[in-house]
Amino acid sequence: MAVDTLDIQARLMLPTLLDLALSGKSLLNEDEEFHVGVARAVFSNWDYRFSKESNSASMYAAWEYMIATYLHEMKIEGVTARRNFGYTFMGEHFLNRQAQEWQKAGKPVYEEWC
Amino acid sequence: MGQAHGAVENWKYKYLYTYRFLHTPFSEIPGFAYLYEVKDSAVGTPRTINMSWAQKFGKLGPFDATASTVYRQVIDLGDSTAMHLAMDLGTQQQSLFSTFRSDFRELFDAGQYFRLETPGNEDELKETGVTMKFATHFDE
Repeated sequence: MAVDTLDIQARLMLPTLLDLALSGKSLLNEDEEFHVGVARAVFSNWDYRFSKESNSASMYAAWEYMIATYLHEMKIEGVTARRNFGYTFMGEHFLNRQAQEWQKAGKPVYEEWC
Repeated sequence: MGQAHGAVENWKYKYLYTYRFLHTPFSEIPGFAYLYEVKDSAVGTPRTINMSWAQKFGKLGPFDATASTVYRQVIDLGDSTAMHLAMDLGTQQQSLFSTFRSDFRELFDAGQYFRLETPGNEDELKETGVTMKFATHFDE
């Protein structure tokens, strides 16, 4: 129990993020060639645990960071607001809530944040 | 990570997420930190029970954990003879050449505890104090 690395928020958010990424563009960047099809295969057997040997956990963490970086650098104006986003839990809550709202609205995510 | 480990299929979380056991005072002195600090891979996220906290932005970067679980203790109130402890690294983590520098780490990562004996009731201490009673001023 004390060493449990199950991330319930990742389990909640992964389907949402994959649905939003269905525009077919790369999830990480063009060099990585990590597309939605690859992502679905990689994440299909993931137990949502961030353990040392986990391949899926590394990709989810990198993907989450990429999305957060984009929001941080491109969508948030002002140094104070960026610091609040980057240095507190508020950024993650905002990111997840925003992704869920986009999914409900049926908006292609890359039109929103890319 | 793509540059260091190639295709995403080769990525592992331990390559990505790390933390350092800082040493006082040598972590603050350039060149000495490499010798005196202990570096290892972290598990978990800020959202998991086995917590590792890392800021996504800032001086340390997104995957350098700045805080994590460092100590665990289990106390059985029905057993006064022992308690069970777990530490993240070792009792001599500040000592560069100690063989006990990181000997607790394996147990800690596995979620195991070591038993530490306590005096328990062997000293046959007896209650000598007066039993305290609490009452409101309405009872006076």
